[in-house]
Amino acid sequence: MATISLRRRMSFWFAAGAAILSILFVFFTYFGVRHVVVTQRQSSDLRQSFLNAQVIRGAISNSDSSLNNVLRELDSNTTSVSIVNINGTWISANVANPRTTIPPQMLLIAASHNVSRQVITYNNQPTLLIGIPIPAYHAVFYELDNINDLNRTLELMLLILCASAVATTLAGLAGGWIAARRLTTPLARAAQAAREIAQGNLTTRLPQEFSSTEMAVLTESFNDMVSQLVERLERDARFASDVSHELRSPLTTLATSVAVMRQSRTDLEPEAFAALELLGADVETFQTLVEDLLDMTRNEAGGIYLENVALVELLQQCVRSASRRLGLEEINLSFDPTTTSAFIKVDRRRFERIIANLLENARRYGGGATSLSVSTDGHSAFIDVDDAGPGVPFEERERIFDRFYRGVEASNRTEVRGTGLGLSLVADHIARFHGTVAVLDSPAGGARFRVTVPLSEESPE
Amino acid sequence: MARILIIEDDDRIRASLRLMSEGEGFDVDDAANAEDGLNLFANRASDVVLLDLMLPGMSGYEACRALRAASDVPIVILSARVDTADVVAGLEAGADDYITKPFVPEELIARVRAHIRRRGSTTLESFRLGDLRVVPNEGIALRDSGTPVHLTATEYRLLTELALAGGKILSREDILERVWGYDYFGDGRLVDVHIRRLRTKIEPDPANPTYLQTVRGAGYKLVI
Repeated sequence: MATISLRRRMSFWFAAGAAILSILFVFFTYFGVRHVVVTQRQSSDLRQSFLNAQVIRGAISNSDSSLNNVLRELDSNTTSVSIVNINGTWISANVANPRTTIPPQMLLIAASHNVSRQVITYNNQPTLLIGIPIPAYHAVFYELDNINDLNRTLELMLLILCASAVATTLAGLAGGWIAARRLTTPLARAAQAAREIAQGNLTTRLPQEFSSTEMAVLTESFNDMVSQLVERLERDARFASDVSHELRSPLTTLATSVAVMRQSRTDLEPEAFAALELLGADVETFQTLVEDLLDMTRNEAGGIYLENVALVELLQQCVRSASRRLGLEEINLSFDPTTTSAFIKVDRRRFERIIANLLENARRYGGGATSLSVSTDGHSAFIDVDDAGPGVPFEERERIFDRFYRGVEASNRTEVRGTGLGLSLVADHIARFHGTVAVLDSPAGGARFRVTVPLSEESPE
Repeated sequence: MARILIIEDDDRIRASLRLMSEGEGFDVDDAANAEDGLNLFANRASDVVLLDLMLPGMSGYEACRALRAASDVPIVILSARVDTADVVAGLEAGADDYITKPFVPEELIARVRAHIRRRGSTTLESFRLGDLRVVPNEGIALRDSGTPVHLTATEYRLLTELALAGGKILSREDILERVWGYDYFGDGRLVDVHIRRLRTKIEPDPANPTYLQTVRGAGYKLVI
């Protein structure tokens, strides 16, 4: 399922909200201001026109003065131009075609002795036209005021408003982004912490959060949860460890008692001796099982002692002691001369156990190890244990390292009984050294168990 | 007939160990706690002591130190603790060997026999390390100033084997085999701790050894 990040979503909604609010703001501001400004201009123009009409009226009554001159004077004093229609005669100082400039409705209104006003286009400019009848002299005074400046101002205002609306929207977007980040940063941190915990880093905790009460609560409950989880894990590990520990003493007695009986095996009936051998073999298996279990619980509880050791020397020692312990013919370790200078950082005892378990596994299920080699690539050491067995089917290659997992092939063979922990212990131990183990195909047929350990970067003391 | 002393608080383990040891032909003394064990040892010295670490009352570590102060007897620790820190602590308390429970009984017997067997003398009569003169067969290590240096039997043997190698490098395995007489068990930690202990006794500056040198990735050598 496709998911949209919270950050993107929050940014979108913040921006959308900012856009809607600022559009409404622009709309009301523009039309409100426009209304006020236009009304003001109209009423001031009207007042001026009435005054001018008075002047014209005076000029008409005083037949001495030329109406033309008065009009010219009026026009020169104001921004507007004037027209007078007296007894059907059009007089204007500055308007070229007075007759056609006035729209017909205005003429009609004037004819009914009413004041009229209208915005017309004059000389391609928006112009406010006011008509004031002077009925006493059958005259009408018209004044044309260019209101382009007003429109310009309003346009500029609209432009500024729109620009600020865009800016507000962008600010909303940024605000959403930042708010989302403030919100998601602790979430991302929690997710990262959860991942680390899942990878086994149980000491991971979230740093205390003071940005908000909600985050503080989340952080606290998260940390509480981890602590409880760790406690439960530790309790489980302790239980397994306690159980195995309690088994040690009786097992020691059992093993020693079997040894005592073996000392006098010549006195035993054949049946009793056979039974003793069965007992002895299972006591040994039991012993290994308990050791393996303890090793695993110890891995979980720590107690690893990492040492910088020479790879080849350690391997030779491990192979030698493991072969003798298992009663195997000692196998030759083949290695490139350059690997002799390689060091790895491991817990010696656990590393020995890894090699011993792989050799033991090869003996049990692969007819014995056929070759053992080590190589390096500058970063890691690769230790290959090959056997001549049937190999490991592809689908079992992961599960073979599970605890108590026995392959189909292996469970059909009743004469072998392992603890079921050998390989999982290998995987468990090697992970403590940041290494891996995998099953591959041996070039000679059979299985190849490959252990990869990072080379130590520290220069040996 | 060799005599071994078993100090172990678990009755059944102690009884079975006793049975097995007697079956192998040893004379056996046993004690359930450190105090009794030390008393027994004071009355009748043994050839090997098997010592449990977790004892009621006086701990195995303390018992180990007390025994070591009184005698060079080989001490083999039997313990349920296997972590390196515990092993090292046990060896540093003066033990010669360490075996973890549950052990393979045959292995324990083999180790005990190795400790008894290696009491024999060496062909090297004496050698010097600076102002220190060592006569292994007589158990003498003496500074020219007349100050004696106290070494345990294992330490004499370790020093002597390294001296016999004539400056050649001995791997940990070689040392285990020659000093402890182990064919295939024992681990490198045993050697490392003993080398460290020996250095504090013979080196002028144990942190920068001049005689007992570590060869990284190979083992140890004695530079005379």
